[in-house]
Amino acid sequence: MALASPLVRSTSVEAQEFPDLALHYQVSAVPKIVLNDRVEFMGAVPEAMFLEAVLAAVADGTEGTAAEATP
Amino acid sequence: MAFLTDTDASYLREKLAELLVRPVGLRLFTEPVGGLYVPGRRTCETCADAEALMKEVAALSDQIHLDIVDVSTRREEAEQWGVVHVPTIAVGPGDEDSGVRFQGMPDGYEFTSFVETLASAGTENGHGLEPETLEALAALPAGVEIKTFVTPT
Repeated sequence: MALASPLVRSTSVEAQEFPDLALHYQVSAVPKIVLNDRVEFMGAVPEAMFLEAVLAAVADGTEGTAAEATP
Repeated sequence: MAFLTDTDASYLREKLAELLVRPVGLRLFTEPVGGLYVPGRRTCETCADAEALMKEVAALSDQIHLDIVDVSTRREEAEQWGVVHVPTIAVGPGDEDSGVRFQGMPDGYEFTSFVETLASAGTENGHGLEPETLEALAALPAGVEIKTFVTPT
């Protein structure tokens, strides 16, 4: 998505190398995805679901929501 | 020590020759590991390995351009690219900042994601997204910062 939009930035963080970040974001399993520090979910999800999370991350007045995907 | 076996390197060289139709920039933000111990300062344990791996990857195709940015001497550039941790690798078409970063050494399973991203950046419309997704992204009212936490295993 970052390759498709200048508004999207994507960082893959190696959790073992950056334990402080992993602790801060409460990473207990991987992959864990965090969007704008307000929406998070675990595991790989279909594209449409990922897009929903992206839209939730920029929606006004939306508190963090979590979508759990079975691996 | 080479990270890629001869077999892997020749397979990747062949695949990248097929896939990359435009130049891809790899910008590795790193810090040399000196002999000086500074109490409280985190030393970069994987910077040397990340540099060696990126050099091996860059040697796989003429379309890949590697720029090694030593953040201790090119701090402004690191700030401009929003890089605060090393090693960080920015991947993008040409010299563009596509916003794609790999923070930490991309080895193990993560190497596959890294190579796929590299191939996507070197292909027109390499993102492979559905038209509806592209439409929604084009209408985004604000920026989105995605962090994906991974491990090499």
